[in-house]
Amino acid sequence: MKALSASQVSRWLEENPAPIHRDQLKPWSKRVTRELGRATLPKLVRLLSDGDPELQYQAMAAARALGAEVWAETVDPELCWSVRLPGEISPRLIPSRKQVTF
Amino acid sequence: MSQLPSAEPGNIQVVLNLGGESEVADAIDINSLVFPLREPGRWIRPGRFIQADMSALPIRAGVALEVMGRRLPMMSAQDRVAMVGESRRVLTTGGRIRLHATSGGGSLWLSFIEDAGFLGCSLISGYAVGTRP
Repeated sequence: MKALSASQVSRWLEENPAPIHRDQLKPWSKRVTRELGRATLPKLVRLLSDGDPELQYQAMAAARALGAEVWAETVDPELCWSVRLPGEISPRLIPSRKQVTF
Repeated sequence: MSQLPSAEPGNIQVVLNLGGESEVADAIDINSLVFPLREPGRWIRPGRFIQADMSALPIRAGVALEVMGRRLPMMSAQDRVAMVGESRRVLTTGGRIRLHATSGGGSLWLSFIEDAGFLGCSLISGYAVGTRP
């Protein structure tokens, strides 16, 4: 599978947002595996840091579908992500540079 | 902003937080747990959490004083209509809806709550807000 560019990954996530219904979870996850693949995990991690808040959420969902453990550690406006990619032993903390504001 | 109706003495004031993860102190969190932000074991509060789809609320009609949603994710227009319709169903007369989307704040939700017949719809502090007639 040819690795997608960062902008292609962002566009894919915008056009194929994570489902909100449980029965759509498995087919969406299969598409993530087939169309994005694990090669995109570093780009998804980058989006957790630099993407706008919605893109961060979509990157979190896609990374989970690819086998990563991704959790928000805190809440906005000081949200940061705990990320452990497949094969990594310990999670690392990634601060979100773009926070939701109310 | 319109005042919420006060609950009768002895009644519980029900506030539902769609997609909530215990960030609103006295609300009941409605969360499908499809893609929660935080590990559920860290925020689920017994008695204040219902695992459910936000477009099909397992709540009887007319009991909630407020339905809110903050950081709501992208979803189809059909799901937005269903979610707002369910919110209207479970709200009591005079109850308030207050919605915010991660991708576009309240403005993304405003037309949906207007179309569902909520009154006094406006943007307040980033939320689309309206009152159930």
